Amino acid sequence: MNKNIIRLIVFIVIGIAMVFFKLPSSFAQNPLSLKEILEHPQLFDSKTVIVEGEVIGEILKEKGGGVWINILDGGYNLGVYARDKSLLKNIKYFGAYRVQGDIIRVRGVFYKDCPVHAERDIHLLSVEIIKRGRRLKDAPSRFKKETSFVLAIMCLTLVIIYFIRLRYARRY
Amino acid sequence: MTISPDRDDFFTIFHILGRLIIGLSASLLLPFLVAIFYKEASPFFDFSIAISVSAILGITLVMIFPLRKEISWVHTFFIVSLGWLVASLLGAVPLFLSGHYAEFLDAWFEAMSGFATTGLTLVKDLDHLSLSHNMWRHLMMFIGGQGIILASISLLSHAKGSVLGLYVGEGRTEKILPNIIATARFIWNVSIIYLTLGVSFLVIFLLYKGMAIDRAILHALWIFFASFDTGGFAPQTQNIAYYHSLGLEIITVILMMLGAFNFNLHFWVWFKDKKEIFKNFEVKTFLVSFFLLLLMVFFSLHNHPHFSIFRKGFYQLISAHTGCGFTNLAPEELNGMRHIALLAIIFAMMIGGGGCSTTGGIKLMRLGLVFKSFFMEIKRLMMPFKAVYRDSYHHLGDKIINDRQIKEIFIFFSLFLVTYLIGGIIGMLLGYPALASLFESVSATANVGLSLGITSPSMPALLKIVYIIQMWIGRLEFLAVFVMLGFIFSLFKK
Repeated sequence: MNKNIIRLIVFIVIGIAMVFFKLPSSFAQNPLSLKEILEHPQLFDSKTVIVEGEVIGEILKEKGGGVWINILDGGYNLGVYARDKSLLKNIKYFGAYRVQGDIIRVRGVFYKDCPVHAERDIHLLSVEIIKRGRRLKDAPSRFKKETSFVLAIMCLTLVIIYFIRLRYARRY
Repeated sequence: MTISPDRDDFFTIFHILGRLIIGLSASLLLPFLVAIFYKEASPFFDFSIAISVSAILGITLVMIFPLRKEISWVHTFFIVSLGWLVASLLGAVPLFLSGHYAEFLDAWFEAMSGFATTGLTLVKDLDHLSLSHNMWRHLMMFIGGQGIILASISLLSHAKGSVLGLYVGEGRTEKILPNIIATARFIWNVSIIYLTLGVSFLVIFLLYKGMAIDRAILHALWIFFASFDTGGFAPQTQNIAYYHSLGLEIITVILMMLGAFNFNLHFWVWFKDKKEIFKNFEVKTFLVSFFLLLLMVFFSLHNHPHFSIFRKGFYQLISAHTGCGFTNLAPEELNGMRHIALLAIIFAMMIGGGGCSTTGGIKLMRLGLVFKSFFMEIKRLMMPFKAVYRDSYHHLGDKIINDRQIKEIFIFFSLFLVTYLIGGIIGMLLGYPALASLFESVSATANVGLSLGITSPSMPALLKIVYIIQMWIGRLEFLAVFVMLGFIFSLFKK
């Protein structure tokens, strides 16, 4: 009985130790939120991380052949640098007005103060599209359309009255 | 004895306000056209509603209140103060209709921030905002930076003697040319030349970064509006960090500096004496204050690589000192800086740029003269009792410092300090940390726009209103608002 308890304690201690030894080298098991990373950057500095987010804007080139994309996750944004543009060739939709960008899973090394770019970024190792983006419908509400129409009529009427008054005021 | 406005004065005030609103309605046509060009259906109706509401209000005011008196000194303070309030309220209409603002107060905050060239923002999900709404956000900064009233002055050919009041009311203290209308037009001409050059450079740069031509043109235009008019809005949530480009940051530094220097200095350097830039008192004050504050920032970032010090320290400091508010750091990163660096940024924001520029804050001339008067006083005490001592400074010629000037400067200096403090204390009373509260309060009053994260849609409504008032009175440099309140008070005393 005692032996079993001791064995159990040993297993637990080894298990905890493994978790602690594993933590500093890599977080590349489960996706982290950008919030977690950006609010505690020192915990993840120079570590391999996995994050998910919507691709925003466009691909931006950098001198030397690398490219940048920006991802958005829960109101937090971060730049992802890829040395090889071909890694991003499958990205089709970039988040913008009426466009839901592709949701990607990025595996890369997070830098709190990147030694190359002097900013907070992730250097991409691999990318996977987990949800394809799409174009969204731009359908203004009926209320908006009707209000706009009524106000435009009122405005035009006032403009006409104003110019008629102006004409008569000049004449007489 | 003070002047008290009568009924006819109010007719004149509302008539001119009506004209201003019609002008605002016309300026909404640009984002409206963008909505048509890009087939943005919902924004099309947002701007259609905003244009109609503004035009209806403007024409109604012009028709109901005929011009019964020539515009005089009394009217100008009302026109300026109310003009900015009404413009921001009407400018908020299309923003609110976009659905990217939690409530109308947030949209009003955004519009005031735009017109006052502050750059604090309450927009939600900026990355998915339409191009036309983004055009309006940035156009507001251009209109506000140039001066809403200044824009009107350059068009008002019949408002002769009184336009000085309109000009002074917007916080501009110096005339460039003997005639105010000519001065207003000169400021516009200078801005258009810089706009052409700046946008061209930026377009080339953004094309090189791989942007599509139409997006490159729009982003170039918006970055120009935000940097030259020291506004600080950007079309993407990450602000300037979105572009991941040192080159672009350098271009914006140049544009921020051009906007932050006195337009009089531009005139002097262009047409009179190029050496003025080396002798000018404002330039010297800027160099001294900037490098002293830079030392503080360097001290706090000394263990970072040089490249990082430039991008993290230098850029935020120049952005704060010029009152622009562009940043390549997220609020969490800015918050993570050491307190000494944050203090340096707060001091830089407090000071601002040159007089007769697009910046807010105490201004370089006032700061320089405050210190000069301090040393003058020490020298005076070291002289014989009967000695007469006068000191001078060089600003477009040698000028002698007089007691009245020092008194005025100290009044403005104190007003700014008190306003910075009041906003900071209110922030603290609402539960925010002291340094962050002071940072945000200074940023709002000096129309900078850097934020440690307090400014967000979830902040208390009271604080939003406090910052709106701070942005408004800070942009108009107190005078116009206080004189207007004085006139209103005089009505009750009658």
